[in-house]
Order: sequence, then C-alpha cells, then structure tokens
Amino acid sequence: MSRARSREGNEPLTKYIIARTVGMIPALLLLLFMVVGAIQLLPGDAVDIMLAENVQATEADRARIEEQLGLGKPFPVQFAGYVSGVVQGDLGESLWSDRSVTEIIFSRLPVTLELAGMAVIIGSIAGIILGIISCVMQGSIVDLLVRATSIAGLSIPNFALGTLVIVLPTLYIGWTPPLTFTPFTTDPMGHFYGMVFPSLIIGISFSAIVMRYTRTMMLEVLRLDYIRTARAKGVGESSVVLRHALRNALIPVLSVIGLQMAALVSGTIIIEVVFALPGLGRLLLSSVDTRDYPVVQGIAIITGSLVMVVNLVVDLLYGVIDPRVKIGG
Amino acid sequence: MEPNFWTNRYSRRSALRGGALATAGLGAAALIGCGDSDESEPTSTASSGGGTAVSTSSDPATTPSAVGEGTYGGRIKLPILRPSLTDLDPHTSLYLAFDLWPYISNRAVTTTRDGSELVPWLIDSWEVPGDGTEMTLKVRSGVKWHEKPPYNTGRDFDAEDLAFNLMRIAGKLDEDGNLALYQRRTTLEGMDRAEAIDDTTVRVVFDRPASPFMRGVSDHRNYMVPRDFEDNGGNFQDPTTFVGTGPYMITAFQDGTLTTMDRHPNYWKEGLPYLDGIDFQWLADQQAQITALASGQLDVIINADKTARATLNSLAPEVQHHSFEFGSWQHIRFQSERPPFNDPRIRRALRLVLDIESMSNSVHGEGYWKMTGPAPQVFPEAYKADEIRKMAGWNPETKEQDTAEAVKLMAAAGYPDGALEFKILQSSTAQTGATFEYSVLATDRMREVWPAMDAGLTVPTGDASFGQLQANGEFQALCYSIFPVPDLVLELQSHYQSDGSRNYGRYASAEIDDLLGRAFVELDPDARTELLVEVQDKLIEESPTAVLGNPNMNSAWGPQVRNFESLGHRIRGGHYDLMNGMEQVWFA
Repeated sequence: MSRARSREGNEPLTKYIIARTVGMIPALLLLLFMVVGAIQLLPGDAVDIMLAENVQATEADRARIEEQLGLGKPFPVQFAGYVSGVVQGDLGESLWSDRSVTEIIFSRLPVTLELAGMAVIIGSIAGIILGIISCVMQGSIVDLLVRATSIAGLSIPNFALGTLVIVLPTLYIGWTPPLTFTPFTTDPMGHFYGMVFPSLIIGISFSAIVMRYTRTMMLEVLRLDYIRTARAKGVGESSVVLRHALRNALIPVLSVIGLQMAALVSGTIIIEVVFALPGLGRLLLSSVDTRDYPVVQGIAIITGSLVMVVNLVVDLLYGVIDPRVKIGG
Repeated sequence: MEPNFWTNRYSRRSALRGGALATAGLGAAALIGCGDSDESEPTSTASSGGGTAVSTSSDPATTPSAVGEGTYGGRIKLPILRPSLTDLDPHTSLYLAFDLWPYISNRAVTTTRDGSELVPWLIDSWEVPGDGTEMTLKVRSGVKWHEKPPYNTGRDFDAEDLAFNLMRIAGKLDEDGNLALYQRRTTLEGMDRAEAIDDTTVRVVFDRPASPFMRGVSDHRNYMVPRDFEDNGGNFQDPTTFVGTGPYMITAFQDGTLTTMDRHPNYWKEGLPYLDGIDFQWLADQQAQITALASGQLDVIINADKTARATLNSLAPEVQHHSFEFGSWQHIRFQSERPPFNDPRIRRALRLVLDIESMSNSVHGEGYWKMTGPAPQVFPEAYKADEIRKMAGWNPETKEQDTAEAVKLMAAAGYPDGALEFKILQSSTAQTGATFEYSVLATDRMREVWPAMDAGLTVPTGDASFGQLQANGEFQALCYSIFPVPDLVLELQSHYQSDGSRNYGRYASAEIDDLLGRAFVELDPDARTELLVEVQDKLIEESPTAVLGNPNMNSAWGPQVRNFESLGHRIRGGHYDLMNGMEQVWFA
C-alpha cells in the first residue's frame, strides 16, 4: 500500500478515535453529576460519623468541621470546584486520611484490574470453547450438560459461590484456598495462587454469558449459505467451524465481552471482600460507608473512563476481526 | 494521706455493708447483708477439643508469676476486621485507630480485673495533696518509646509526654478549636490543665474535685503518643511513623494489604512480649475469618459470635474458645423528649413485659451473657446480675405479674389496648447481629401483650445514617450496644445527664442531674456509692432505657496458642483487652 493510500486509510480512524474521546467528556460529566448527587442524597455524612457519639457537639462545632472539609458549601459550588480540580488532574483528598485520592485509587486499581482481567481471560476462553462444543454437539447430552452448567453459573451469586469455595473444601478435605492477599513483589507465585480462586469464581458466571452468546451466534452462522458452500467444496468440518464460522460469530460475542468486562471492574466488590483483596471494590464499599465523597467520586471517574475506553477498544477491534467493518468510514 | 476514692479498694457491697444508706432504694432491702463483696472473677472458659475448663483468672496488668513461664518466639497471625483503616489518630478516632494502637502503645493506668482498684502503668503513683482540686502524678521510670528515627530516638517517656497526652485527649491542644472531635475528652472532665513540673512529675489542676478522673484516664482508648511526634515528621495517617511504648512496633503498613509488627526490644515490662511479632490478615468477612482460623491461616478470631462458635465447633473442634464478661451493654433507648415515650409509664410498661432472660439466651446463648441494670453490672458500684435478676422486669419468675402491671401502666397512660405506633431504630445495617435480633424479639413480645400495638424496626442504610439519626435524636426508640467508659459516674452522666454526651434519647431529670453532679465531686467512696445507688433506683423506676443484657466477649484461638485465658477484663473494652494482652500469649 502506498504511503498516500495508507494516510488516507488512517485518517478516518484517527478522526473517529478523537471524536469518541471527546465524546467521553460530556458522558463523564453526566456520570460525575449523578454520582456526586446520589451520594450526597444518602443520609448522614462524614461529619456525622466523626461526631457520632458526641451529642454535646454544637452546630458551631459541626459547621467548623464542615468548612475545614469543604462540605459546607452549596452543592453546585462543590461540584464546580471539584470538576475544575479534575480538569487539572487533581481528584482531591480523602476526608478521613488527607491522602491524595489519586494515590489511594491507583494503589488499589492494579488488584481490581488484575482480578477482572484474569476473570475475563478465564471466562472468555472457557466460554468460547464451551459454546463451540455445545453448538457442534447440539441436542446431545453434552450440549444439555453445558447449558445446564451455564444456567447454574449465571444463577448462583458470586458471594454464595465464594463462600462455598471457601467452606466446603475446608469441611470435607481439609484444604482452604488462600484467604489473604500476597503482594506480587513479596511472593509472585503466592500472589498468583491467591488470585486464581477469586478470578475463577468471577470467571464462572462470565463464561456462562460468553458460552450462551457463542453458541447462539455459532448456530446462526453455521446455517448461512457460505458455510453450506464451504462444506460442499469439501472443507473439513473443523475448518468450517473454527476458520469460517467462528470469526463471524465472534463479532457480537466480542461486544458482549467488552460490555461485561466493563461491568466487572465495579462488580468485583463482593469477591474482594470475601477473599480480602485490596482492590477498588473494597475501597468503594468502605468509602461509601464512611461517606468519603472525594474517593467515591474519584472511583466513579476512573471506572467510568475505563468503561468508555474498553468500549472504544472493542469497537476498534471489530475492524480487525472483520475487514468489512470500516471504523470511521 | 486520707484514704479516698482513688486509693481505696472498694466495692458497692462493702460500701453498703459499712455505711448507712441515705434512702431505702428500690433494691436496698435486698442488698443489705448480702455477704462478701463480689470478688468473683469473670466467667472464663478455655475449651479444647470440645471439653471445657474454667481458667484461673489473673490480672493482666500484674502477673509477675506468668512472666518467664512461656515460650519465646514465633509470630501470631491476627485479623484486621475493616476493609480499610482511616482515622488513625487515637485521640479523635471513634474505633478505627484501635486496630493498631492497643498493640503499640500503653495507657497511663489500668484497673484490676474486677474494676475495684487502679493499677499503675505509665503513671507510677499519684497523690491528692489537698481538697481534690489538684493532683500530682508520678511517671514510671525506665519506659522507653520505640526507637524509630527520625520520629523518635527511643528516649524515655517523661512528665512532659504525660502532660501533653492528658491535654490532647481533653481536646485542649487543638489549634482549630475542634473540641468535638476528641471522642474521649469527657473521660478527663473536670481537668483544667496538666503541666509537667519536673521530668517525672505532672500537676493536674481541676476546676472542681473530679472523682472519676483517674478511672477516666484508664479508658481503654486513651493511648499515649510522643509529645514531639508531629514535630519530628510523624503523621497520624501513616502508621509506619507511629511510635508508642507498647510491646510491638509497626514495621510495615499498606492500607488493606499488609501490616506487620515486631517486638519492642526495650519494652518496659521485662520479659515481655513472648512473641517475635504480629502479622495481620485483612479479613473483613466473618466466614472467611472462621475458615482462616480453622485452616491455620489465622491464629485468633477476636470476636466470635454465636454463629462463629457453632461453625468452628464443626469445622475445627481443636480450636480453643475463651469467653469473659466485659462491660458492653445492649439496650433499647426511648426518645424521652417526645410522645409517646416522654411518659415514664409507657417506658416502664414496655420494659416490664420484655422477657430478658429468654431473649438474651436466644441472642447470645445460655451462659454467654449477664443480666444488667441501667448501670452495667461490671462496675463495682452497680447492682450485680443476681440482684438485677430479682427485680421487676428482669425476673423471669414474676413475668406474669410484671406483664399485668405493665398493662395497667399502659392503660393509665391512656392506651388501654396499647395501640401505640413506633419503630425501633436498630444499629445493624445487615439485618443480622445482636441488636437486630433483640429488636425483633422485643417487638414480637410487645405485640404479643398488646396485639393492637404497631411496633416495627428501622434498618439504617449505613453507619453514617445511623450516626446521624442517633446523634440528632431522630428516632422513637433505638436499639444499640455500647462500650462503657471506665467510671460509673462518667458512664451514667454520658447516658442520663441532661447534657450527657450519649444521652441520645434526651432524657432529662433534675434529680438525676443533681445526684450525678454530687457524685462527680464526692471523693469519699462510700458516700459516692450511696449516691450512685440512688441514681440506679431512680433510673429503674423511670426506665429511660430497657436494658437487655451484658454479653460476654468471646474469642477463638488456634490450638497452639497459650495463656490467653489470663486475658479479659470486666470494664475495659473487651476485644481491646485481648489486643493489649497479646504481649502475654505464647505458642506451645
């Protein structure tokens, strides 16, 4: 391809990426407004907790503390001040610890990303493979078992599954999965060992979703004319399934994986609590409980941005998987 | 020096035997001639493999015979029960800071197990030279801060440190004037100032004689920090900078991830601690804690409720259990400022119908709680459990008569069919736990007696919303569990004095205020006790709270841990006492 043609091909893509990135801004602003507003609607604030057992605290005491924490201003003023800070890269400070919110969040984010990432990998691989098997063996006992397992995976809540995984082996075989977090720098193998089980638990329900979509799309694609043609031309069945059908079937599955991945980042809370993982989910839980508004807002921005970036990447990948799809064209 | 409140060993029963009661209180006739003062040790059972053994008690503060008997070495694995630790200044924190400070610091004084005597810790001795408006405190020599440059060189704890801490706990050093943030300032009520007059002596000046002062100093959350901590770069939000005089030093801390402590090589209690250090596991989920203990990933569960004990018995019968009395008391508090509970007849009626014994056995398990009155029975001056059990409302054998009396009271108050409508705001957000269970049982019982009564529960959305509702008095009735402060005058003042710091129900009685005010300045122990008995009698009659019980603190220990049976204190904060006591345990 000549340079001129290459530049011509890349230009619409670049414009598309820029347009999507710019489009994130109003979406993030709206998200922030909703999160900031919602948490302020919750009864009680950080000052209520600070003065919890102190009936003698006067209105003046309360007002002084609120002013020091920046909570005394009207909501629009607080919101505008916060957005102004965010634009300059400042997510504020925790109301309780005075630590930078950015520092707090980024100390926890890697664990959540790792947990979500491992769950996605486990769930995607398992889901796609099971979906293919179920499709190819449609109507058989194998298909029935796989579908029943996927229903179970979707139905059982993560926290219940997590508790069963912890308690049952201890009770019956005297073995317990690791229940404490080991930093990677302390012991890489111990760290990985500690992350496998929580990732598996999240991955199970994730794989159930992927499996069902894969099966459905594969069944649809395998009925198309070009597949009949390929078979008529003598192409082997494995080649028909894996080379010809899967690629087309994966496009909507990829979209589902992308959406689910985004949900996973905020959906790890329960598993993080059960397995004592120091991730963003646990941080969010404790911050909401203590009404640490800046931390909650910071988490909203970070996770919201992540969701949008993931969706952008998924859309861009369409063009890679299916050359007929022109991004920005 | 004349014996006085701070120097006498005393108990309510011995005071009543020796002195004359000013008035014949409600239970006074039952009390006179009751026999020896109640020196019985808390119920403490150490069980292993399903068997039980009653441990011999020993005072955790003065156990010279135990030192040197144990095995040195090893690191114990303890849980941190929060998902995150913030708010780590020990003088302003409500509770979060005390996952760390009990291990690394000491308090100035403590008390014996039965609460009858003060025991010197970082304060070695004290004198009241005159009329009680001044006191001199002598600092113990040879106590060293942790050597942690640049935050501390490992210097001696001195009088200036003590004076600094007393002033800071009282909120008198806050430059921003945020007195309200100092959660335990009322424990030092009456103190005007504390000043070091030499390296080892502090003079405390009071605005009036303050009988609760020394016990207030012994509060289980009044930990000492170096006076130059922040000047040397220390940060109350960074535990790696924390310095104390306690048996352990923080060596690593990452919030939510990692906390380790190593033994203090220059700890002032010679021969302690036994263990080399502590490794904390951040486990906020109770099921995970139970499983971790059963599999050896933890060595202790500090607060093992009924469900945890039952689960452990089946998962790991070799786990050892330890149960002891402590002062936390569970209650239903009525909003006394507004109808319907501004009428003492209605409050008393509801209190009388509750079957406390049956409810508490259901919530805690038989043998894991004690009857208590409006003054927690762990205090030396309070009515004891066996006395309370004989009183109307608490006595299971007179429940029928009590219920009949309650019906009459309710009718006299204008509700012959008990057709009240109210909700109990209970503190559990998860709809589990003692306060939730008590609230359900209480409302069931009330509706059983008065079918027309519409009594329900309110479940708060979180600690912040509960705290707001509680502090603002925005409830009709409240079910809660409270740790007491270590002095009964302070405790009763906080809950029942008109401007009490924890008088959430806004109960007001000029008579109670007067009695408590007099008890505060009364330095004669017998006279003080008499006043407190009068207060208790009045509170039983007026019923601003329906007191439900005094639960035990129950902990579970791995099979290799030894000497935990010596831990446990009636008034100090239950699990904080276990944390303090980690210096005394060892591994087999």
